[in-house]
Order: sequence, then structure tokens, then C-alpha cells
Amino acid sequence: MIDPHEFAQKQLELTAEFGKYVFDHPEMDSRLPDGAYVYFQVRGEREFNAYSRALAQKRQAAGRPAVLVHIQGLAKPQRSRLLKPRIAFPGRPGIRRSKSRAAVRRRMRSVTSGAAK
Amino acid sequence: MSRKLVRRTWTTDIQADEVQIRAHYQRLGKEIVRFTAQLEIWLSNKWQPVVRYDNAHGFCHRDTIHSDGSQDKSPVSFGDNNETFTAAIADLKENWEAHVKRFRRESRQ
Repeated sequence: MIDPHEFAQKQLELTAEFGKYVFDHPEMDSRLPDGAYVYFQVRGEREFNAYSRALAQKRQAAGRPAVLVHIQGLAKPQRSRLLKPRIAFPGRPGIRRSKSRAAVRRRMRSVTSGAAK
Repeated sequence: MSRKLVRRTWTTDIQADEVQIRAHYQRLGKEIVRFTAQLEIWLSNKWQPVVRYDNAHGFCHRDTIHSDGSQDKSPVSFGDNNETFTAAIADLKENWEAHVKRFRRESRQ
């Protein structure tokens, strides 16, 4: 059986993603009865799914409408949204800076030693 | 799309029969105008709120709810509704056990 702490963490993650999905998809309003108990079945997560189903069945037995959300999986967490960032060292306009590695190293040394402003 | 206000509340278990999340939203047209993410524990034969994130009163904030009914309100700002909801659940993911312990300890006093 799934570790209860692991189940809790997974549930919270799925809850966050489901909430965002519902916010972005108004058509979900007609699929989600008010007061429903929502539970998840994630492809390939046997232990989680079994426990999730068992909890849902208890809630249904107590008279709560249940909504099952089938999930194929979760996309990887989003990292930086920057597209092709270029890092530059701001300098005096009109001065062309050498891009050679030696020149870059010299500039970095002068910056870190406090010699340059 | 219709401009009728739609209200929905749903719950999901975090810890069987003990801890749950209650989520609520109100949508006008396509826009979410109000949302709540609330952590609740089963105590004294009822679900009791322990900590709540919502955007009532015109700003996003967290209510830390005490067992005597008092609340500590702190503003939070994570961006749009989606970002705030995500951040709220992330906080709960990190701290839900501490919130529950705190509330239970207060209840015993």
C-alpha cells in the first residue's frame, strides 16, 4: 500500500494542477457538480490509484457525488521561460569589446578585484 | 459566453478521514473572480478550517485559523489567480502537517 505521506504529497500536487486546469477551462463547470469529491487515477500509478479509489468509494457510500479525473501523466515542471538569453557586460558605448576568452578573463578579474566600475 | 456567476466547491482527501482540501471558485463569464483553497481537519465531528488562501477583500491573502476561531490574515501576492492557487497548494504541500499539528495543539489547550 502507498505510504500515506507519499499519497498526501501526490494528492496536493494533483489538486494544484487540477485547480489550474479548471480555472483555464470554463467548460469544466458543467462537468463538475457543486460539492463533489474529486479523485484521481494516474496512468501507471497502481498503489496510488488503488488507495485513491478506496477513499472515493467511502465518500460515495456516505452520499457524496464523486468525480473521477483520469490523468495520463504530468508534464515536467516548467523551468525558465527565457528564450535564447544573451549575457552581456555593459560597457561604454562605441567601445568594441574583444570576445576572446583571454579578454573576457581579464575583464572578469578587473571586475572581481574592484578595479573597474 | 454567459455572464452568469458560476460557483463550484470540491474536496479531496489528503489524509483519509482526517485532513482534506476544500477548493472553491466563482467564475463570471470566462474569468475566475474568486477562489479559495482551504485545508481542513476532522475534529469534534466536523470539518474545521485550519489555513485558507483566497482573494476575497480585493487581494490575495492567507488566513491562519486558530482553534478559538480567531484568524491571522497575511497578504500574499504570487501573480494571477493560477499562480496564487499554485503557490497556495505548494505552501500546503510543504507545511500541511505543521498547520494540522498547530491546530490540534491549540484545540487541546
